Amino acid sequence: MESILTAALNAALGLGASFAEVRFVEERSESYEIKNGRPARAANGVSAGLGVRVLVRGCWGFASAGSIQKAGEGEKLAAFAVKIAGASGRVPAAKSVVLGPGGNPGHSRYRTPFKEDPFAVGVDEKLGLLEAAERRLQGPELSVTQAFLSVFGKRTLFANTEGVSFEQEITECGAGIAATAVRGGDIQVRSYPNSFRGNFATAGFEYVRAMDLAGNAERVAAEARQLLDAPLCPSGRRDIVLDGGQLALQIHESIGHPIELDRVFGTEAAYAGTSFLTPEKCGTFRYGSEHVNVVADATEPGGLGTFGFDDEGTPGRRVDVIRDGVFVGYISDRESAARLGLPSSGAARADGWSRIPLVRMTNINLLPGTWKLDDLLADTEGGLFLATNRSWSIDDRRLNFQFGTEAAWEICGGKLGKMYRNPSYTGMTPEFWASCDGICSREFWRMWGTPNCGKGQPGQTAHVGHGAAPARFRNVSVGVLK
Amino acid sequence: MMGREKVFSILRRALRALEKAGAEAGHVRFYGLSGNLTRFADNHIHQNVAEKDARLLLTAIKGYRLGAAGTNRLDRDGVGQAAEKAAAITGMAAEDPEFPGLADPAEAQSAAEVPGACDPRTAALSPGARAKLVASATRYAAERHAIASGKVASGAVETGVANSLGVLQYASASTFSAACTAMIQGAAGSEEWSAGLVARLDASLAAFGKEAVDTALAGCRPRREEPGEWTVILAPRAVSTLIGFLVYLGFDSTAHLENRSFLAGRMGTKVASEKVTIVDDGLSSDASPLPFDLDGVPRRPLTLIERGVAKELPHSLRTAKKAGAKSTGHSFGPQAGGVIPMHVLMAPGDATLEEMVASTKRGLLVNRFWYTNVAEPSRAVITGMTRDGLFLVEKGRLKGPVCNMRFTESITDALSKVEMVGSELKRLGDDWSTGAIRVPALKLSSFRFTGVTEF
Repeated sequence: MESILTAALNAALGLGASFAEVRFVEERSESYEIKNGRPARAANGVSAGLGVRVLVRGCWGFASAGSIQKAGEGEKLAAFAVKIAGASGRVPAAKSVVLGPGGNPGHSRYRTPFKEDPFAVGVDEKLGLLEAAERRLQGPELSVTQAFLSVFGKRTLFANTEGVSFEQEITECGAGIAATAVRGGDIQVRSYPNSFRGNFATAGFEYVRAMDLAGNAERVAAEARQLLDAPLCPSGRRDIVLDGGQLALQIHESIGHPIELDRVFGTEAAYAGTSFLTPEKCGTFRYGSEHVNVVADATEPGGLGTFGFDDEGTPGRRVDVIRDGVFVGYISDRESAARLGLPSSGAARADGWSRIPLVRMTNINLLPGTWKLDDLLADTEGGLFLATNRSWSIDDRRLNFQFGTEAAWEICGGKLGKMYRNPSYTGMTPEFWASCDGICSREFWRMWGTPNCGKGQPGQTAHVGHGAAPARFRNVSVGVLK
Repeated sequence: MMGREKVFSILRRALRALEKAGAEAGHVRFYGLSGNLTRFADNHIHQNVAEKDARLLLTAIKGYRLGAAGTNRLDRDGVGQAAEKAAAITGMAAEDPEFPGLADPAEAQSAAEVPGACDPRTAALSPGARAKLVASATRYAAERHAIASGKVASGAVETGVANSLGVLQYASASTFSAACTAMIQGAAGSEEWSAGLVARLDASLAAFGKEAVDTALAGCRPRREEPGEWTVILAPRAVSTLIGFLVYLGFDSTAHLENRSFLAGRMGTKVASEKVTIVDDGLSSDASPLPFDLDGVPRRPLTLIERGVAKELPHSLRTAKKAGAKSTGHSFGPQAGGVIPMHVLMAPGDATLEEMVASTKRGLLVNRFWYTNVAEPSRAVITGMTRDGLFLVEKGRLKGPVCNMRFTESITDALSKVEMVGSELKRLGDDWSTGAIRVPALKLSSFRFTGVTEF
């Protein structure tokens, strides 16, 4: 395969490209689901292919094809990419594309560290683990009980015309359970450890074993039933404490996306939207309270955005995003960073062989504070504790958001009291983060995996991570649903 | 494009591989794609991509045990390895008592391709032709000091299904879509076009970008209005959000069988204004057709809502067996969960957009909704933002732009308040896939907004 990559690069240069990069990507996946006592899904898949991206007279072209095996196919793709770049030049920008510094020339390797290869664990063991958990979910009024498990592997061979090359093997896995309770037209869901098929990490199968799905199943089932009898979440302004899973999505939507520098420059204006976080705000804009410290960290162990190299060959790194509440840095690729005279933050990520790298989140982590959860709840009399995302929506500049969670509890006498159904809250991004006055400590902090982050046309799905611990926000508008 | 005979040959080879791997029965799905997409932003082309791929999903069956494996390696070794993996799962998975068996060739005869579904000109649209379209939009925008962004996408998809009982299906379709968003002084406007045959859009594309730029120009310096209950005129793209979620939440037969659809137990009852009629037609050339489903069963057109009454549900072999019904040809495959209409056509009315505006004392004209999500599934409550054009209507006239608002509303509540239905239909579809939605504009007497922005 290395020879095909080299031939493609040489062909691109020979046809007039000033820069070229090639990625051979081989993806493996396994997906299992037990639903209502039966195997609803047991499947695996492989997809491999080659993508060639070129710059010709300052304009981009990209061509890709699946199942490349023969010599000569890389050159054909390179020629097509050059032709496409030529067409891009018919509607050129005022300034040609300039790339900032990338990785160091030479060959590097990276492999996700893990103890137990999740692909080596038998299908029967995986299904057995799910069956045991799903059995303990079943009970009255539960219309649907589900247990999920997924394994994902991605091997990338990368090379560019600047002499940078790497081989990278990423391994991910995750699992979860969910119970859907139905009565009289009401539908309530509880999940563990997170909604939408569970939680995910770059890790081995030890990550799934440690989840103790079966040990949490009876609680999840009971809470789903309890929600049917719970009163509707009250409306008004309340102090709220968000659990880590919900806070992860809050970070994702209201920090992770607006800090994407390509979006700031309008490259997603027609689709994913733009950002309120215009360049003059960097270094001065108060994003949140002094408690809010956020980093983009591709080196955090276990995150879905953890890797050795991004898809431009830039080494994974940690950069500050918000320091003591002040916005200090974007996530970027070589092209967008160069427009600000900065090096790439190492956030150019592509969804497989058939997609170009875009600026994508790595692990966007809200750093832990100092509170113990019990102390934070005891200090929030009359507030609400909201757990597990159910719904999300935010405007195209990433300001006006509304979230729903699976459940909420009144905070009463320092403890969780009455449960509420259909909780929701809404706000504006900077005001919301300014209202943060307490974040739990490292003891309560964990990585949350979001394996379904969408962006780009044609559509790309990124696997990204968010470190979060429960945190408190003051005077938030809750109970939007009437 | 591989063509019918080559796809059939690949499908047959995959079935033989499953048999060799020890499967008692087999089901194979083929998906082929040749896709091209030119993206522009800030009045220039910034991304320009092409993709070619073909992949198989093999399902091995032993009694009531199923295992599936996908691959895009279509050579003998690649297909053989996938078959081995699929068959190996059947040795370890528990029985699936709800598996309905494979489609019977007597009931799943080869479906004829929809005439004109695959247009060679559309499938082969060159990068240069796409750039020419982009240039017309960016030129129009630049002349008016606006910034244009968007995409022009074209391609062709091939779908094949075969099973070991003898079912053999093939269809191809070309796809084209173009979209433009224009921004000026913080205001935005947008337009979107989609068709299986680009020739159908030649007239519209001659002015590609004009609607977006003109809307943006009209949207400068918006005023803030308070959220609350408003009369609304929804342009077709805003309507497509409501109807898309209505179909997703209300017409998934799996959700009905699990009693978790808001329309469970309400089929045959009135769920919308009598002005609302919606069908699903996978054979319509207006809906990027696929004449069979991924079980291999020919599609049957369905009436989803007739004059406001919920009428028919789609079925796969799996849901049909459970419901005691017949498959309508709406499966996504033997192990797929949801069964959802994908070729959704809403019937037109007789009103023009101008007549809707003229008949409105005070209301809002909504061009498009954005980032909509389900807030409460049991009442089909969805929430989202307006985008790319929100205008105040007073005393029958457009008065000016309004800051974007958040809505939180039940779809059925909204559709029960339809006062007027547009006579013009707009088709919208995804890039490089079959399935589409075609809707008119609507005027609703009341719609609930719950928040507002400063832009």
